[in-house]
Amino acid sequence: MRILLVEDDSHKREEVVAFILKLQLDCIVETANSIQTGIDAVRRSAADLVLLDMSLPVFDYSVTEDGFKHVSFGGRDFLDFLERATIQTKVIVLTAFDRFSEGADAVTLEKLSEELCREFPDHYVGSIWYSTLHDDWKARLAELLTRFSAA
Amino acid sequence: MNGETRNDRAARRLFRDRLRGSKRKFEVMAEAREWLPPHLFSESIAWVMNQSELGSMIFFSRFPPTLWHLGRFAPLTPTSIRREILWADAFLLHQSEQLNEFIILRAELEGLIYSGSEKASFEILARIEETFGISFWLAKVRIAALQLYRGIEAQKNYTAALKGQAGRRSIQAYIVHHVSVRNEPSVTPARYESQMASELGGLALAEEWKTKTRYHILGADSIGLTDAITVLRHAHAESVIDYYEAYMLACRLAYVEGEPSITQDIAKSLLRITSKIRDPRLTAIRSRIVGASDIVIVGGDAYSPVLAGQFEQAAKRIRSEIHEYATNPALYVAAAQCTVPPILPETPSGRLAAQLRTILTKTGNVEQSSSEIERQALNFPGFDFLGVLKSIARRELSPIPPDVSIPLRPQSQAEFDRINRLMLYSVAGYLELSPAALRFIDAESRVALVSTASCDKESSACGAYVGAVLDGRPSAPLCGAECTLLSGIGAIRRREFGEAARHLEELLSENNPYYRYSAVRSLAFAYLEDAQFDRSVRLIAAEYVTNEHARHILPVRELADRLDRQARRSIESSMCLAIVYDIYARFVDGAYDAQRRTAVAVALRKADVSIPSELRSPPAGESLHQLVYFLRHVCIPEVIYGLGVFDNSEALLRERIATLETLKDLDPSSSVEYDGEIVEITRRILIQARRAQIEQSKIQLDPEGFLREATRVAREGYERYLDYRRAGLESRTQDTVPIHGTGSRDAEGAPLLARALPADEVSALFQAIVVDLRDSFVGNRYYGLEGFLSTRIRHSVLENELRSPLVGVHLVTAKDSAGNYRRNEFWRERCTWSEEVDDWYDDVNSNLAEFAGKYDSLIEEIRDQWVRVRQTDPDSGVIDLRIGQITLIRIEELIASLGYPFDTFAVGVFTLFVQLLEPGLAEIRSRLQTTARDRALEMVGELEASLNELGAAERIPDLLSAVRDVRAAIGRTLDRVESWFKVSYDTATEPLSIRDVVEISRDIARHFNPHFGAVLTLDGLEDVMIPGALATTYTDILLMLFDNVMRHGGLGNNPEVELQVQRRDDRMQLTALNALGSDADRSMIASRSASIVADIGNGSYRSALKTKSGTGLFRIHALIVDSLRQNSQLSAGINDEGRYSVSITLPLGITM
Repeated sequence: MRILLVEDDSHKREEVVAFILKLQLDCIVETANSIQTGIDAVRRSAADLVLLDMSLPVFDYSVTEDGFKHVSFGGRDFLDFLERATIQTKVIVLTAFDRFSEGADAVTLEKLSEELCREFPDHYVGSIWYSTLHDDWKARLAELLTRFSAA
Repeated sequence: MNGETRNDRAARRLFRDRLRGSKRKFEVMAEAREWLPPHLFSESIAWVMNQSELGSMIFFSRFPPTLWHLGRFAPLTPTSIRREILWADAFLLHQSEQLNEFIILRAELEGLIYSGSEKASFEILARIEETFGISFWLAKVRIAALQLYRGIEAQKNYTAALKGQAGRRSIQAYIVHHVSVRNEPSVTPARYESQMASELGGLALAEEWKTKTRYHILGADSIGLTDAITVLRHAHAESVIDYYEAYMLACRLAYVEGEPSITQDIAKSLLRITSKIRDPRLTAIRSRIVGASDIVIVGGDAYSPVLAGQFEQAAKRIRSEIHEYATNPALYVAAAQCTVPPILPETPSGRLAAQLRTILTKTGNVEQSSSEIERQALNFPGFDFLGVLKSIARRELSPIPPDVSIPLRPQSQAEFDRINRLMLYSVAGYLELSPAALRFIDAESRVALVSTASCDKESSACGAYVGAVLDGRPSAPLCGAECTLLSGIGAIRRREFGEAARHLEELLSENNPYYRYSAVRSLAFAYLEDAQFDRSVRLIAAEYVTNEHARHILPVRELADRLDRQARRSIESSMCLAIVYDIYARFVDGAYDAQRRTAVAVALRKADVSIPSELRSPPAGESLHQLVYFLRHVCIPEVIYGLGVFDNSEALLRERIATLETLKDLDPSSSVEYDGEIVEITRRILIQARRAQIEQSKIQLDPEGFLREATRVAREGYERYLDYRRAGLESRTQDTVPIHGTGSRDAEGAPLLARALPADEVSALFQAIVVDLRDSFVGNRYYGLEGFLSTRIRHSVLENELRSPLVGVHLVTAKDSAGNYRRNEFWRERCTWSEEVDDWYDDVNSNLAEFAGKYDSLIEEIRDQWVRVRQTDPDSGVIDLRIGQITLIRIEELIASLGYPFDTFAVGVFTLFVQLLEPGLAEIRSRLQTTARDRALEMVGELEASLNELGAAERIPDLLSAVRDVRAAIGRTLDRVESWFKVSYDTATEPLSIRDVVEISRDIARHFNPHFGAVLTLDGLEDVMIPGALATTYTDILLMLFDNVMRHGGLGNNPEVELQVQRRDDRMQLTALNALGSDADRSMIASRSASIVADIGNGSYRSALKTKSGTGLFRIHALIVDSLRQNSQLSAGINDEGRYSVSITLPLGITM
């Protein structure tokens, strides 16, 4: 199984990759740090499963690249690309946020999940709330990955 | 006193006895309103008034001479609405003679003001004041009239005189002050209303006083019936004029709100009062409440021809009548409905008519015209015709046609109801109604009004209109456009949307703009209600791209909300859909930004291109207008990144340039604008590249400079060394004896030179040469390593960069003069309110401060202990350039292998020093990526945990999101800082304009603190060029100027600076100006600035450079002297305007 992790937070990326490897599933984990590198990766070869952060920069940050923009719903842009390009890949949103955007425009993870389910029924599997304070995400991710690799 | 009961007699006696026996006579009278039978109110008031002493104690000055008197007495104590109304009419009836005179003067005044009769208007105002004294009504109208005719100075003088009468801290002064402000031409009513509503909410005043103040400042729209009764109670203590206006307000609101429990009492009160007070407005309100048939529908000489389509005839009438009948709303609507605009006089009424026409025909800035009408209506309270025009303007800012009364979505319904209320309130005072006003009333209310009214039979067009309202069958002599419009609207009301569309589509080719745009609105509404989304999308896009002023009548929000996934897929024109989402993004919010990006991608795919610049002609079914709009406004980098075909930001920007080139071919008439944007983007690309280059040049070593300096300090000694060698004396460097044995070792573990005793004279000389060169490499003030570390990294920059993720989301505040973090008000303001919120937030604030303290300590450790050149053994500093025996031997071997020319020797030594430098830089990079990252993330984790424990998730959820945001941002900022610790030999020679340098500096400062604001004034020096190699130094200087403001301006979270670049003879002067915060100690700042300038003047600043704080200005001066090698005049202090100012001068052209 090929898993693509699209995540810009290096610490979270390292932790998630380490956790997946620890599960000893028969899988290869590839990573991308931005919407664009995520798109490039699935364009090269479709992953079986994408673990997708929601808040992402457009391009990879570097000393000469400011990422162009950090998009609150950047994961949605990625999903939108999958749909437009008719790439049959399943997606699990793995986000450290339980709400997105700010103030009156804020959207809860639950509401976002409903929307993604409605808008991307062919791709979207579900959401996991990642937290550095709690380990709940690990059990949920392990469950989904195990089920997915068995399918 | 016929029919009088025993109780009446007892009540009368009790009232009089209590008043006679009490010292608190006003209170006794006020309380009596609770128990006196209402039919005794009038005679009781008369009895009091007839006793002059008692009357003046209780009813005060009914026509007060000054503003002070309006606030001198207490308001009435509350009673029921019914009793309040009955008391008011009883009281007012005793003033009927004066009120009848006032009513005539008031009506005359309305007409005179708007017909442009300045002199007569002010005469009437003077007469009203002379006869009836001062009132809030008079103050408001006079301020507005002065503003209208004589400008801001005149109205401000009058306002100042009024405030002087009342005392500046009084409520009356507060009211007139804000009335004066709302009249200022630069004040936008909508913004003013929202700001004042917020300010009033926070005033430390009892609620009823707030209500009264709100009414006077924000007008009748801001209150309901219950509030109006409060206003009435208060007005009793003010003036008869204000009491009368408040009575009128309450009656109107009772009608509009239609509360059955009170409307009958109000109708009776109105019947009583109109028996003596001859005000047609009161009669009209009563007729509305009881449904009497004395309302007449009148077409009039100007509006009847409009209905019949005789626009030329109507235009002539308008021209002749708008002066004489300036308060007739029908004339204004008629002027807007004519196909060709009538010639209008240069009077307030003429200007008002032109503004209404702009709104109804969408031929100009609709918002501005609407805002002006709103302003007039707010400033001339109770001028009913202005209220009608304001309601019409509001209608035209809504996509819902007034003619429909079908169930709407909740949000739309609420908006529709608000406008209806306003409209009904405004027309309530008219006994005669014109179809001109009727057409803007909602269908249900319109039918109700027309059903009970009689019609002006002489005007057959008017009769036909009324008939069409009632039976939905328009006919001649109504003109064709009117018939078509009414037919379409009738079909919408019957929910026959196909039929409606058939009629309304006919009007899309109508040349009368009023009818055309009325049809567009109704048609868009019909499509939407009929779920004809594709047609709806096409109509909205087509209308908007040809006339953006029509946007208010296009149901963009309603359409976007209804387009689910399936509906979007059914839409053929993705380009039009992208345009609709773009309008939404511009005027509503960003909720559909993702859908806009998708629509763009789909539109390009349908057109068989992959990027916008390839779209060189309109796809089938789309117009050139639409294509141009699509490419120009929708296909911007912020949208097209979603295409997923660009590798980086620059590629994205270059595609924008290519798109603009395409647009120049498609739309040559706007090529100047496109060229302007191309230039801007090209500059942006250049600036980004140079900024990255500058940021990567923190340790910018200069081999040529080193060679020059080496020649100065070491050449002579080196020649001596060579002489020794030539004379056969050998160096015994390998035999050097350490002085202190162990403990003093260089990076390679060898004993340190500085603490070792040379074995012979040759070695001693050689060692001295190398040490001199090392010291020069490290400490030379022009290019030394320590200078770069100090100026470009340690001094503020490192701290600013590492703090930037925290500053961006307000997790950290500045410190006060005692070194404590200021309270974080940003997040306090975002707490959901509860009684103990302040106590709770104190804990949150402590956690934030604790986190900031730990984080800042980490920064200090990095700055003070890592990023330093180690001087002595136990000293801090990761960069170790101390030279030991092995190094010395390597240098000697190097000399031997290279031969002996001095230049070769110096370059070799320089290379060796760089090699020695690298392990230290690598160590710093490594520590940043490990120690610093781990510790910073741990701190963030602790903060998140503590906030969670406090329950921040419920009370300030955005705060936790901000903390989680910081986690990733800290990683990025550490990456960025890590990238500084490498040696740069950048010697960019491409010059930069001063404008570019200033903008790069501003961008970097904003990166440090996104809330930093900088206004730049370049005074014609934009193109003064700075040599490329000096760009970094200029940026350093500007960043220090900005940093000075951010740190020492006392401006809290949003520091702002104005940077002026001006010519001073043959020099360029850079001046940074900033306001000082309220808690800034001005005298301390002034004396400190004077001392800094003096230290710079006498050269003693050099020693201060070694200290950690307060050296920003010294460093600026040192940079100019050392790096630019220029003399500079630096001045600093508080200027005449109370702003802090720092100026430096530089020659206009500096060369390397």
